[in-house]
Amino acid sequence: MPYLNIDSEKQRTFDAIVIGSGISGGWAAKELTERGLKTLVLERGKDVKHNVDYPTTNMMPWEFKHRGQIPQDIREANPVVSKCYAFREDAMHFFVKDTEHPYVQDKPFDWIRGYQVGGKSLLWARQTQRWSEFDFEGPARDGFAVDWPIRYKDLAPWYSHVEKFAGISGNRDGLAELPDGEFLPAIELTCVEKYFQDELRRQYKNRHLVVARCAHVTQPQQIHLDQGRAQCQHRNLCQRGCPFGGYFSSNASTLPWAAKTGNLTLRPFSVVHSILFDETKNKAKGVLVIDANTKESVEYYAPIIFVNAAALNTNLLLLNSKSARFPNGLGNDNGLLGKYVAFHNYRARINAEYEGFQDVTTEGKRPTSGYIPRFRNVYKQETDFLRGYAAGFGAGRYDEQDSDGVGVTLKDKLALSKLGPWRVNSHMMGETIPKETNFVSLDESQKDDWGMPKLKISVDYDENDEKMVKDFIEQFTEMYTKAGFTNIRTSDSKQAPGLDIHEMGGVRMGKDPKTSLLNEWNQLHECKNVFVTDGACMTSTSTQNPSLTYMALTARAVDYAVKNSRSIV
Amino acid sequence: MNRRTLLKQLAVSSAAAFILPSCLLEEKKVSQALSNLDIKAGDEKLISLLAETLIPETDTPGAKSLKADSFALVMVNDCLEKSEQEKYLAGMRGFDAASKSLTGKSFIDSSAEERVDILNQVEAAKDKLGEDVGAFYFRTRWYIIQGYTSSQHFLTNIKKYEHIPGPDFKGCVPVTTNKLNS
Repeated sequence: MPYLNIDSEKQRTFDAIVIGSGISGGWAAKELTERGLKTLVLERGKDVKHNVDYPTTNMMPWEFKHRGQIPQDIREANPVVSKCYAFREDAMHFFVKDTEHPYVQDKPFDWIRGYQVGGKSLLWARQTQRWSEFDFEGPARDGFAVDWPIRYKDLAPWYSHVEKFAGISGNRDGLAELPDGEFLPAIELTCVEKYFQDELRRQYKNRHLVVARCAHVTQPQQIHLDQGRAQCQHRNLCQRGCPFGGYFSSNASTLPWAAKTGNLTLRPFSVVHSILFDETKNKAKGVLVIDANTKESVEYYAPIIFVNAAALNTNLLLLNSKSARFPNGLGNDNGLLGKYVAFHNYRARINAEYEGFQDVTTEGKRPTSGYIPRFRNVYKQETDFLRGYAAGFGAGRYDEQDSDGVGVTLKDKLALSKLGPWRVNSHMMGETIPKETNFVSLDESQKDDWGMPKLKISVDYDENDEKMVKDFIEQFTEMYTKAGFTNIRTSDSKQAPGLDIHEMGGVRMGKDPKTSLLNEWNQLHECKNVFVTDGACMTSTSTQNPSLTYMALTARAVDYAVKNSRSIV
Repeated sequence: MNRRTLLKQLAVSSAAAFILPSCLLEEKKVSQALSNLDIKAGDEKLISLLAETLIPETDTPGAKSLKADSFALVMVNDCLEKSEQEKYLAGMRGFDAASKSLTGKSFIDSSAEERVDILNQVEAAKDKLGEDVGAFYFRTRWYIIQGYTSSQHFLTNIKKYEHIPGPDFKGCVPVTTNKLNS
């Protein structure tokens, strides 16, 4: 037995442990340390300090050897991550390479990961729409998954809490299906987006286009200045890390805030192998960490543990946390751990052009676009598929380079700017229905370099998803046609699940310990001092980009944990 | 294959192996290391001539002085699949012959003015180039334009790249003449 030394054990004991430093782990760290808890944040990857470890952030286009493109040998060695739109020369150092951390695809699944301090919060698309009552009541109304143990009113104050700190820009649109929040000034829609907004209002009862709410500081408040963050400068190079702290990330916001309290200990290169269960006290006592570099194991202890390892890795960790009491994984009495995994269906796109508004264009860049909240089956079931989809929508004009000719002719043409037509594009974000047959499990026959079993992913689309793809294409073709858009082109990428990077579930919340893993406070029903507040906790997926909801659930759970620490620990 | 043919081929190939090193000595050294491409100085010269012909030096720098030719080779070396690289090299080696059969003139040995004419004819006759030469030429053209238009000179002096555009985004403004929207 190593570490019998009492002093050493004391040094390895904290008030709380947070596993993972991404978008939800950062929030757990901030909330716990602010309330005076000595908190250890464990991150499996390298440290990424705000502004210090953003190696490409100030690079000019000509400074990239391949002008952004990923070299062929890297693409061939890493076919999964190479499919991700943001895996480019300027940000590839923030992505996990397939070769470094293999997993088992029982069915095709593109698992996109970011193993570093800040996780994927450095790389996210920064869209932050609130869930509505229609989303929380969905499973109960439509008879799938299990009923959420919370409703919109339970989360609303916590949405406000995280929005004020993170800095969310948007309009108060007054839509029941997309509740308003604490918004900084919105970024403008373009002429054709406004035109489409009007057309939808005119032609349909219940279809709305708004400017997407996004985590960009459009007008810094004192709370943002206190974090050392400044106004977003619309560089649209967010994936490199932002020197202004213009968008929200753990690195720019929650982690430095937590560090300022003096209560944070951050340990990078810490692969959490398992959560240790104390059979006599019937609660978790700490974690077993494998040092990513030395491969040495070390235990850390705390009476409160937050699991924020990112949805599927949280599943992996809990499944791997075996004890006499929990032979099938921590809290897994009902055998549902790892099951009911779901995601977002991003397969369909529709592009077109618009011949109007030739005398106007846009000026500058912007880090967001339009958003059309779900309009299918909102108030009642009205189609032959369950739930529906939201959509991103953008319309803009771009410089179209004429590159015909040879010699001076070509050279002169390249120097000209020719404004193209208005181009409109939209993509679906479909809710998928969590099912027992969509699950992750451990492949015990294959261990990784740190002694962890490989994760086996068995997740697929179903008929509901196929119908939704078809409906999106039909409905948007109709909407585009009615608006007079021309040259309409639709596509179904058939991309595998995972590339949406919105995988959720496996450790779902619910009212009943027989059918769920977590209660209404994100505590494991069967191990009350362990909280899961990342994507793994999601009972259903709705259509919104999920990060804002993880942040709000995390802050709410920390509040509960701290207020009820006596009964928990 | 019978034994006699095999032996003959072995003799030829070992003779080739014997002769090759001295050939190599005659080839000028290439200016940059390209790990996946067997590029000779003559090949480099062809790419440079294409760069200079496509986007010439005038009162402003051309593609060659902005090193768009080296950029093109780096992209071929680093970013193409093996099969595409092979096709590219085959097309490169066949380009001057294609130029001769199409226009009666060697691209390499012509004057700068003639080279512009040759490329205009090559582009007009793209269906007759053959798959490899066509792939080689249009891929090179693409990379040279990319290298030129993403150079510091171009993005500083011709079309200004704004690294920090600032927060003012306007969704609807009148189109003005000479509007730079890049």
